[in-house]
Amino acid sequence: MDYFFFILSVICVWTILSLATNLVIGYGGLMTLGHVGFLAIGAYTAATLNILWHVNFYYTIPIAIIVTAVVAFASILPLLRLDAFYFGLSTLGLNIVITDVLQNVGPRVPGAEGLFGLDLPALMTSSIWRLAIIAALTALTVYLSWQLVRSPFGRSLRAMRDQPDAIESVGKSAKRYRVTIWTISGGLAGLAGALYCTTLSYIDPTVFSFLFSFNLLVYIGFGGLASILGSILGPTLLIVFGEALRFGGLPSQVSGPVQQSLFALLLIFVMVFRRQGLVGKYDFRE
Amino acid sequence: MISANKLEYRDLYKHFDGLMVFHHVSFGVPAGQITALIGPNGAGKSTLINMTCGVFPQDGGQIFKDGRELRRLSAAGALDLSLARTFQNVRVFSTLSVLENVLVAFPDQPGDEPWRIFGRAWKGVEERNREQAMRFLERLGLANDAGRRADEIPFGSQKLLALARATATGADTLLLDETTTGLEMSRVPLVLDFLRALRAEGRTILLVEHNMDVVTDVADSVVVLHGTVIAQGTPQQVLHDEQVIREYLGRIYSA
Repeated sequence: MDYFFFILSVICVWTILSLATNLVIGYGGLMTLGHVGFLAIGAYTAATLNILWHVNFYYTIPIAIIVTAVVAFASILPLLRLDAFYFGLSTLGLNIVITDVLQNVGPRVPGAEGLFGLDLPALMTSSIWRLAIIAALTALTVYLSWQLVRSPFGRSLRAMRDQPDAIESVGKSAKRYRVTIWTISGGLAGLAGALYCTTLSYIDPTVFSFLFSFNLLVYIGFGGLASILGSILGPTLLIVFGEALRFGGLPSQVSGPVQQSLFALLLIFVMVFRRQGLVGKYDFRE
Repeated sequence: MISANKLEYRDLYKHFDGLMVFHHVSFGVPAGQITALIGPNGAGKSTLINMTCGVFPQDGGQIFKDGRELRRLSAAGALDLSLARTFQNVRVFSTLSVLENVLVAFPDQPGDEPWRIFGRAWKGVEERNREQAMRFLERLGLANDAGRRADEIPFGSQKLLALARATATGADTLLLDETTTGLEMSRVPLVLDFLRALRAEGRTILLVEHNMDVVTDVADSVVVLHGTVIAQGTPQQVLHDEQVIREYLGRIYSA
């Protein structure tokens, strides 16, 4: 049963991160290849505060959101001048820089080689209550994202994605929308990171390699760009599928690579035959 | 500088990498009137709109809006000076619905700030904007397309949508780039009525136009651009100007 709760928690975390990523790629037209870097910042913020400085885990969650949002805000400013491809490449670089920094401060700072021994509040030590809290925060994130994209702000955001020159012609700065959605997305990734800690007994920088950013792209590509439902369906179906594969009788050395290959094939299949994904509303042209 | 001109161009000069677009361009766009800007392809008509709206700088000369010189204007800043424009190649928001395309442009949108979307306050304003947007679409014959994706309607309709979008900004001065191009003849009268109504509201319009029937019908004055301003005056005067006929029109239009 604990395993079942664990998988559901993992699905919740990746749903939040998929929403965060879909807000910038699907709705904002900003190609990010490195959102797992922000997941790392959220996770490390929460884990460091909790393990090394003994801050109550509940308080570390909002702090992780704020810290990650601030890092996201600061990181997009120099990237705004870049076109789609170079922007994407830079975000990939950002992911690598973040994990490299975490890895290389290792010898000097306790924790960079890995942090374990999260001191969770009593309620969160029970796996079902932990899942309930994570699921509630995920539901809240879904609700907030949904409100955001259906508001006039969401409409202007999609308009900016479609025609940056034309949004300026109606007096709205394309830059403002890009920075705003990127910062909001960073905050959500920080939330996902803090919650991610609780699903792992141990965090170290290799958990946040850019290969996980690839999985993230498969999740939202499969679920559908510019779709809240797609951001939920994508990770849910694919994580369930990946776990099912592990019970297919294959040894874990085989099932891991098989899963990655199937993900890659699935991505190609989706791109060729159904670019908008399962329930997506946008295909990334240009 | 005090003048009855909404927009004033003085000694404007533009070249692209040594290629002269135009030089010594001076003319005024009188407030509350429709001024047509005509001239052959490549004469720099769209360039002049882009310069006015801060898309790129002039290489010399001055542009005044309401007597204030425009300097270092950004594209998003043009509307602060009550300048709105359409694009020659339309640029509608392709995945948004026709109605949404117009709604995006309204200046008063509290829900456009992410931290204000959870209140109910923006919904009343949104409802008002929606009614206003539908009125624009009805007048341009687009009401039946309101729910369709903007890139699914014909090019001529997209041109009209761009006109509705620019109008919705509430700008007092509209720079319209080839609004009737690609539009079937039967729908041109809708545009003419729309433009006349804008003028009646007191808005100022600079109209880039190739259709001389449209020009003679609605323009109060005409400026002909070909390297520089080769003629300006009433449609009557300009369309009978020998140089204009020789260099651009090719024949006499009855004005």
